[in-house]
Amino acid sequence: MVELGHNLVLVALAALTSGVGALGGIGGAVLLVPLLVVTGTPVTEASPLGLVSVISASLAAASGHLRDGTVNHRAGVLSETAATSGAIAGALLVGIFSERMLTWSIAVVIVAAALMSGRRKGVRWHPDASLRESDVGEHVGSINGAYGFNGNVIPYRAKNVPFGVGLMGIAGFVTGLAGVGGGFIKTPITSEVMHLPVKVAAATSTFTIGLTASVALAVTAFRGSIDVNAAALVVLGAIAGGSIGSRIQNKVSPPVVRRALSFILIAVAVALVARS
Amino acid sequence: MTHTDHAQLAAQRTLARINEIIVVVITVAALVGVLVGGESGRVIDAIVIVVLCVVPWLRVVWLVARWRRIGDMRFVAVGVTLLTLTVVGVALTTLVK
Repeated sequence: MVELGHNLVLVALAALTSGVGALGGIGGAVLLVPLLVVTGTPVTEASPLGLVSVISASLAAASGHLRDGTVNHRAGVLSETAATSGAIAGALLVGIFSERMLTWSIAVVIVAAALMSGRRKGVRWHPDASLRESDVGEHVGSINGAYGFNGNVIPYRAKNVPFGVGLMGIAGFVTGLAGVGGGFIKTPITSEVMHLPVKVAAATSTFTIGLTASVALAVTAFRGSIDVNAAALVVLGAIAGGSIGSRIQNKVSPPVVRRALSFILIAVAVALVARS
Repeated sequence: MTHTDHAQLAAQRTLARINEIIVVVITVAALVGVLVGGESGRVIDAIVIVVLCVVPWLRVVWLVARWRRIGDMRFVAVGVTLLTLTVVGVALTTLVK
């Protein structure tokens, strides 16, 4: 009976954190891992479960994002390349800064990103009546494109791309040093620095965090430090939560997504500091 | 080269259907693994983990192949760089730690 209760709590926590993570495109691990640790799971077991939740939620959200054309794969692959380069460098230089200093630095950056997202009023990109549903999608050779919302087609053009890609590299380096996923930084950089619509940024980040987490999970699995039974429970919860979170994100307006993202980012900053 | 990649959205809808099937299979397998339990359950759950590690990267391979087919060589180069970096990164991380 105790085990059944523990299993249900695990599924519920995975569903809740993955749902919240899918809403902002930041993944749920950064919320799930501290919650699991608080409920008695050792951090060495909780961390791989966090990775499992991120991949499961990313896959669950993918079908909707692929179908409605909100995900920008070119932007995702470009930013992931920069972030991966930084993360490799960071992972190889682990230990040059104290963990406490890194955690607090990341928390400050997250709070700054939350304020940037939350303070901005209105929307940058407006519907273009001359565009049809067939114009939804990515542009060949660039990370510009158009997405559909409420029957309208909204075109967008990326700005500050070299700066944004550079920031992705730095974010990857810092998160690689700290040993945390960088999903919570990717959406704000894509939206606020590169000026992609927040819904596109969240969908694109949901795609890329699945890539990052799958690599980290493969390395962890190679070392054999995963409780596969608990992982299966997390898969069930995260797929449910990821599906629900992405559907909500698809229906609400961009300013609502931005405000939700701000609140989630503040919660992530608190969770990171608490975890340290 | 700034026109919309019209064919990609249609191709993505096919990929979305394939992804849905994969998600259903993963969900059913995870559920069966939990319900069966024991060594058989552990094997099924381990297979789920392997699938989770592989599937996201199949999407990148699919994207690179598509971009190559339509001649978007700039992003083919970016995609190949990402795949190469990932392999090198995993190898380095595994060897160094």
